[in-house]
Amino acid sequence: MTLPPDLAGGWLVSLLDLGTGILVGVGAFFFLAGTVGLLRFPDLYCRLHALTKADTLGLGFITAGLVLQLPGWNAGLQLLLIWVLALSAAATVCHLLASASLQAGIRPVEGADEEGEGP
Amino acid sequence: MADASSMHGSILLPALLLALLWWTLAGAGVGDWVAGAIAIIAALLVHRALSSSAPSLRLHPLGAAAFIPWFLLRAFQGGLDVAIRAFSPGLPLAPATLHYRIRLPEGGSRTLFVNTISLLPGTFSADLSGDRVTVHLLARTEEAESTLAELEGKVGAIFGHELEPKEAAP
Repeated sequence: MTLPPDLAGGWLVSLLDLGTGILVGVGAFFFLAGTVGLLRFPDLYCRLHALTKADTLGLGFITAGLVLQLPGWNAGLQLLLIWVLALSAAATVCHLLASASLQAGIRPVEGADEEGEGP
Repeated sequence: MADASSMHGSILLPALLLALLWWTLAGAGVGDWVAGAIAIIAALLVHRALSSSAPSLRLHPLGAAAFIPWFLLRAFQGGLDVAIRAFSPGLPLAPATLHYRIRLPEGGSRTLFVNTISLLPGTFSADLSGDRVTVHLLARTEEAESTLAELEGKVGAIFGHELEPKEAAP
């Protein structure tokens, strides 16, 4: 990115850039984790966990990282607003997919880790 | 709780939130605020007209302020939990479902509760019928039910609802 000359090389800018790098990196890690979960988890319901939680968190970190690069508060609030909307969309879509699947008779896989208990 | 102050709060808080939203979207130019004031007043009138028929959405700032950091921490734990499970070679999952009886009244608080279940570690709301929500668990844990009850209490605090103590599921 291009920096205003009076700030270029300033420690604050370097610090902000470092923060952005770390936050966006962490965000990308969570997106990767969500995708790995999507591929590896056994059924639709478990995959929804991966998508709603890991991806939403990843988007949150990337948003936080980008906020550090913005010139003013209201641009930052716009990004925050987008994240909140994405978050509620993720939760709503997750619920709709799961309830439609349950009603269509797709049974969730039950646990293998511990002793299964009856419902 | 004084009636006058709650009447005041019912206009002041939405007006402030709308002003913040306007500033977020449009910026702080003087000309922008003329259009903004018109938009905010129009939105408040619509809000008034709608809220006379719908149950009131009176928020408690303290409850909301306590909820946000708690929720962010939980959302972080939830994402980390999924990431650890996804990357573990053994794929440590023990999926299960449980039914939870909602104590919150119908309306905004219930909607918020059911939606935030999906962002807690290891749970999402899979179905809702009446006051019973079906929750899918990524791994069955002992504390899942008490975590749900804790979330429900925190959501209730935002809306000023007192919940009866949780009894054993019928």
